[in-house]
Amino acid sequence: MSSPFFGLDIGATALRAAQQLLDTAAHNVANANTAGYSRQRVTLVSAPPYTFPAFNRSGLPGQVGSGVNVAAITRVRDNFLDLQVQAQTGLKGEWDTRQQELAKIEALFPEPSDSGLGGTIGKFWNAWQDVASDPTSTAARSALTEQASSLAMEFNRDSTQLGMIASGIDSQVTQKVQTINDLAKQIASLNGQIQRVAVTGDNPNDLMDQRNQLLQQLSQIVPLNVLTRADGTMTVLVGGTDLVSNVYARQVSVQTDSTGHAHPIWSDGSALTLPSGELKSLLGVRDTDLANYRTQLDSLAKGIADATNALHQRGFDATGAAGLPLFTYNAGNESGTMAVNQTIAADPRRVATSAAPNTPGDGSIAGLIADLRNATTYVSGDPATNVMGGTDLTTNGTARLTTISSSRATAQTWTFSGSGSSLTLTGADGTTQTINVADMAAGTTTTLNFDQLGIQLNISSPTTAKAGADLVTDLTTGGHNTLVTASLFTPPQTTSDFYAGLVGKIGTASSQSIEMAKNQQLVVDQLQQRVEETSGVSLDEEATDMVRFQHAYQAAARVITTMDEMLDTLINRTGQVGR
Amino acid sequence: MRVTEGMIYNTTNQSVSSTMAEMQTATEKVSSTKQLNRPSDNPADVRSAVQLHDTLSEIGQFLRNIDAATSKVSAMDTALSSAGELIQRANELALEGANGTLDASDRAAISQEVSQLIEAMAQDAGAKVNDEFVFSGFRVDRAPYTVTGPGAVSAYQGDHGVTIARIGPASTMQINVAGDAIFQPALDALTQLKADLDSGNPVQAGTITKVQGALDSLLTTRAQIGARANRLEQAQSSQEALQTSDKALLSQLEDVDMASAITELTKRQTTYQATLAVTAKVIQTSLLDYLR
Repeated sequence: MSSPFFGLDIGATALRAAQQLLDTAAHNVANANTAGYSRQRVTLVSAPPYTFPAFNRSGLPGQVGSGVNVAAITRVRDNFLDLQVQAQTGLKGEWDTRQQELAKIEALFPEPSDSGLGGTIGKFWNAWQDVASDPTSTAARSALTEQASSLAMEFNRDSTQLGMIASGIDSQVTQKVQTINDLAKQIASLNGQIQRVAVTGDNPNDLMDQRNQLLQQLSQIVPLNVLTRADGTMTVLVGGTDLVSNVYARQVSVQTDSTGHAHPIWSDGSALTLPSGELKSLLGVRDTDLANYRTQLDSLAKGIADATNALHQRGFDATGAAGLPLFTYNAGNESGTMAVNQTIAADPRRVATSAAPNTPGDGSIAGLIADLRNATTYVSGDPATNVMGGTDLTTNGTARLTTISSSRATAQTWTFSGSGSSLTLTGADGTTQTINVADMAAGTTTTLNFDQLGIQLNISSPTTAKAGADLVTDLTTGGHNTLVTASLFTPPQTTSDFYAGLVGKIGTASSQSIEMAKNQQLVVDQLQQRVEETSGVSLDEEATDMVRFQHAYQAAARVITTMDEMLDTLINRTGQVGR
Repeated sequence: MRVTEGMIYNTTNQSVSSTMAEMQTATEKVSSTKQLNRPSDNPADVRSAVQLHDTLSEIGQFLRNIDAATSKVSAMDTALSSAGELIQRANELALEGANGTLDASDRAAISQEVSQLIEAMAQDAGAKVNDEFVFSGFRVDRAPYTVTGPGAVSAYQGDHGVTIARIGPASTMQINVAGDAIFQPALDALTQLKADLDSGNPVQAGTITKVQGALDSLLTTRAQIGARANRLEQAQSSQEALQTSDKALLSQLEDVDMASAITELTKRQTTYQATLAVTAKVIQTSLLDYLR
């Protein structure tokens, strides 16, 4: 027969178990809104039954149950789901960051509108047309220099703003690296604490929840490869190198390159590979997208400046001097440093509109510059070696080649050849045309129209009649028989096409990142719901359980009361006969 | 499937914020009246719209060019009309002066009037628009003819520069005519007429022919100028028509159809309200309301 206190003991275990169940339910309820918390469950196991097989076992029927033990307190967590969440969070961080940075870039190009860079460029060409129709008007000339200034300033501003976005990314990179280092240190410290608990056989549930939360935050910034070790610690690898190993956290540092941009590297100097994550996206936007757009903006500024300058310098201004370059810039940073020549800005008479000096009503050079709006090439080159607008043709009387216009799409060098009054123009690509040059009477103008090649030469003959053959001689003598057409842009296209293309590229990149960010948000939301489904606390469930546990506690207490009465009977009322 | 309060809160939060975001885009479209507010709204359409803006800017400029050219052409026409009347009068005087019965004082009187005609013609040649002489070629700062004495004018002082106007894409037009091409024959004829009258003899037949020839050539030039004015008018109508159709195209791309945009906004507002109402109902119920 077992001891009467045996039952009391069973009651005590029941009480302890019910107490523990209630405590755990209370803990769950308290942490229902804690981020990253996984609900905890008490594992009950019946206490080792009595008796063991042995020589000195009592002869009573057995085995007798001896109550309940709390075996373990475990958390309900799907570790595989956690890895999925980390991977998808990394992608979400990547697309979110990309979308935000591209939105900043996009804000610099408020198109379609009349007030963006495209509108300003159009107004610039328009101003040249106004000067061409009214070359002596000071108002038109001033308006032109104003418009040229506005154009240069808008290029400057856009370039500066792009630079500021790049600097903004630099400071974000530095911040993210700091965050990585902080999180890594915290994870390492948690690793240590978890290991110490795990070796004693306990489950460090809350610590593991905290560590998981930190890993999730970290995975948004850099892509992680997480390995769980047998001792409970987690080794975290980034791009193949371990960031956290046991209690040691490797540091990431920031290296600034010659242009002032920040690059993350391991503190020992080795390179950091980043397949995804916010950090990768920041670097990608700065080093690829922004750099690309900046180069395109520079090309746009350079194309406009070079073509305008080339034509302007072949013209003559209202003071009779040859035109100065209208725009100045520094190579390599064309859009950031583009400016209007100070001499011209200060004195609108220095705008060169005429093809010859002392012809105040001649706006032909201004007209050719205005025509650059729809041109893909323009006539450029060195006046010492090439035929240009303004060249004098001097065989047997002087005529002046006033202007040359090109509507040809390709840039190349052309050569004049011919004899008698027949003139041939041949391009480097082999295209050619021969025309007949008529004699010119005094005081007339003529046009040599190579219509199949898209090139026209306008000639004026101020003083005496000039034979066609003499014009041919002028154009075919060595030193003045080549003509160079240059492209504004590569590949050849008009200013408007180039600008529209740039805006289109930015718009497409931005719109794509918006879509991807949205999609990725949905993926992450769904995964979070799955995590919540598995590990989340349901208050209704806990409330129901608490009712159950409370009854268990009440029943256990009742058991103890019963045992107590039993013992009371045994102790106080047994063996009282005859007292 | 196990459902926790956390999942319900997440779902309702996501619904509310996505309906709010949709409402926000609809509101932006209605208040800006544009469906393209940034390049990412529709990159292909934005690209086309950017190019259309440039085209419209260019058309606006062509119309301004046409205006400037038209005022020059009409000034030339006015001057030529006045010059024509002068030559008509000269013709009459030439015929009168050919009459052998005139005496010296009569011829002197006629010669005086011819002097006046010569000076008046030089003045007509000096027509100006915006402070620029229209008959001097590129020398718009100099009058084509100056009066050097009673009934005497200088030689042509302008040059033969050709001013052109850009009236359409790849479409240009010569506007001016060199002063000496128009006025030199007339001035020469009148000068010869005056010389004849001053010589004391009747006006020669050759002089009369010359004056009539000058009148014919002036009328021909006037017809040319008239043709230019017509061409400018046509260019204006065609550019205006292009402007209207391009504006319509641009509006189609850029602008929002207000009726459908407002309907869309109202629909999304209703959705938002429904989401909020459902959320309020769902998140309030809990087992704890029913446990004692």
